[in-house]
Amino acid sequence: MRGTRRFVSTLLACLVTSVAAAAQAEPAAALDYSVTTAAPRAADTTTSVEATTPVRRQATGKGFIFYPSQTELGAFRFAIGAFYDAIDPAVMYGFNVRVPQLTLDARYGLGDGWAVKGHFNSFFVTTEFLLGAGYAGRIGDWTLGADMSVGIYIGQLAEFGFDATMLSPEYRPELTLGYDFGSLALSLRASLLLMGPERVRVGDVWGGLDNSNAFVGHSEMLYVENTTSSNGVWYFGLGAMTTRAYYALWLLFPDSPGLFTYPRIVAGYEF
Amino acid sequence: MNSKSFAWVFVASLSLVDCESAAEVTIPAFPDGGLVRTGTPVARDRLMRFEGMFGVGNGQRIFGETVAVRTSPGTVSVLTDKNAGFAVLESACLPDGRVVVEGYWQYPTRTEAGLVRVFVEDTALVAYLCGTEEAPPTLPAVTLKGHYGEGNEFPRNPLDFTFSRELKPWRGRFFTVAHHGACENTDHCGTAPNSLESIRLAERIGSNAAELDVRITRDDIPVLFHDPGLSRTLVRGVFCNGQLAELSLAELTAACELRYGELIPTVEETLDMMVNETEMEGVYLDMKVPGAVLPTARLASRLMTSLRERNENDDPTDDRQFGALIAITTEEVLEAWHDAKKKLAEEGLEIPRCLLEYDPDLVISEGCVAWGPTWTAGPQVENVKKVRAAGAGTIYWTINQSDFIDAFLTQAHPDGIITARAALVFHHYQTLGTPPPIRGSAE
Repeated sequence: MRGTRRFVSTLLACLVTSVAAAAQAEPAAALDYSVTTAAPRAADTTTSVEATTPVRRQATGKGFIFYPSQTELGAFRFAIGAFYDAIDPAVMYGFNVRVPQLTLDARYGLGDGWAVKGHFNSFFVTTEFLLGAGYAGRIGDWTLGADMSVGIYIGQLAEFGFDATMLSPEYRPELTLGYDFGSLALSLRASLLLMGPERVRVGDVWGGLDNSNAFVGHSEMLYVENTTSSNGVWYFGLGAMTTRAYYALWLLFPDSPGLFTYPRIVAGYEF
Repeated sequence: MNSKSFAWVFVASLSLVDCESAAEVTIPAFPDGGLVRTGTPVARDRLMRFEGMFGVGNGQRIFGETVAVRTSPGTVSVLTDKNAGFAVLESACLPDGRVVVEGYWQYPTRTEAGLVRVFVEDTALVAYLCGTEEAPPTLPAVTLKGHYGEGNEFPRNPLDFTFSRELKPWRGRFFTVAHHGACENTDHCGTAPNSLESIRLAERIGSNAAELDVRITRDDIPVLFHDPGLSRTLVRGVFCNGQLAELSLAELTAACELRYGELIPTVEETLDMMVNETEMEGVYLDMKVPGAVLPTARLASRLMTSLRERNENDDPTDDRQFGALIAITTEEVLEAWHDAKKKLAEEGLEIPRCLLEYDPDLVISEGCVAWGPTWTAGPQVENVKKVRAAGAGTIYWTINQSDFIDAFLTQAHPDGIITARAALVFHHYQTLGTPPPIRGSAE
């Protein structure tokens, strides 16, 4: 596990270094998206030079999925992507097959820094669907967002010797710290993963998990959102998930309540 | 420092934060070796007197309302359904005329553990436990009184166990099968899965059989290991890398240690240890690769022959009942099993017994003695009845959850359950289970 943490730390450090290099680049090297991006709010045009950056225009236009954004009422952003969890095969009872999960995200601005959000991820065997609301504020070059989502965790498999289902409500408070690097938005998001009560079915038998705990883990993800000339945004991210085994691997129902850490890589496109 | 520099330092610092809380548990021990060190160990046959279901008076916070107590060589095991907890105790006759039973308790999935010291004070019982006479007809029931502690603190919290009834038949009837040893990778038992130490511990915490994973080294030696790769989570050693099948046994032994410093055991030394150092009744040898079948079947066959000779000699005290099952997990392993049976016949060796996991009909047609269905498809009661009618048993893998242990025990009456929570399965079998019928009946 220590090796995994070192790997994640190294990758994050590399990511930070690359972002820093991008931010230190000559302004002329950065693309100017001002022609195609949404116009900033009137109040923003009177602020600092950063107000004219592509990131600032997106943050006050359609908004970002991850970077804390202050959009007006009706601003809508939709994203499609994937994430991949590099879980140690030893925790997976030796299973070497790991499947990336499809992700869909949406954000709808309510004005005054408020927004409602939706998140969906699935690879069919495991599905999470969350709806929530959040608020974002700006302090100088920094933005800070707080979100709260609730939803459902669904596990379902009726093949390969399984006839099993797992259902659980899910609750996810999140804090996101954002920084505007001009054409790149950098966001560090910390999430608490809360679930329960879990219900599991095998065959016609339903039951609960002996060692379930409302706190199933936490994640720390670093996201980079890169504005484009078409008003879309490429994003990628890397971080560490620290979860109980049954959150990541409900299928195997491991009941050990210990937390284990694994890297998560995400990438996608925001329309 | 400007704000951008501050941002980089802040984010980089966060990336280095260690967020994991996976504290290792130290198994508590009496610093002076305990009172057992000053006494004479209670003989194996006298230990049987401790077996039974007991009510818990003081100490319910740790042990729940009832515990099942069973014994193995040198050990009195107290098994509870509270957090799958157990106490591993030793007993000794003390010079002051008492019998002490002491050791440690632990919740395997949590970090709580502590010391236990209880006494048998009834003089008639002490006289029996420490003597050599036959049991008198009116021997009183066992009551254990003493204290427990938490962490490494000396036991000072009152604890008492009062005998309530005999155990339901379990030896030779119901198999609490340790899932690749005593605990899961993510537990804190102090032993690595598929190690000899873990198998020894498994018996002390409630198992009477073990499910073990068999792979093959480059030089065709069957060894216990679950994964194909030598993962950092499972092994230690700078030069312990790559796939297990790429290393010879000598290389594996020289380069690799398991998580707590144990060596990766061979199947041969495992069978020898289980037969000669424990009272375990069987082993479920899970064939992870087809190449492991023939060499493992040879070992199982030779063991069968030697046990038969041992049980047919003139010394009944030397008898040993032990079954080694070759577990057929896939079609490829089944093909290897067919080839192995031909080869063994050519070599004049007995065909060992088999267990088949994935198809109850094949269990019958292949003549295996047991079906090993995954619990994730449910109890499948009709199939359990079908294989039982054909004379085979059913051992589910791998159930660790109370609700499902109860449901499978009461609906299907299996012959065994593979579990990483042996204390839980044994306790629930004793409270809810029905001793399985003699195999071959259609009951």
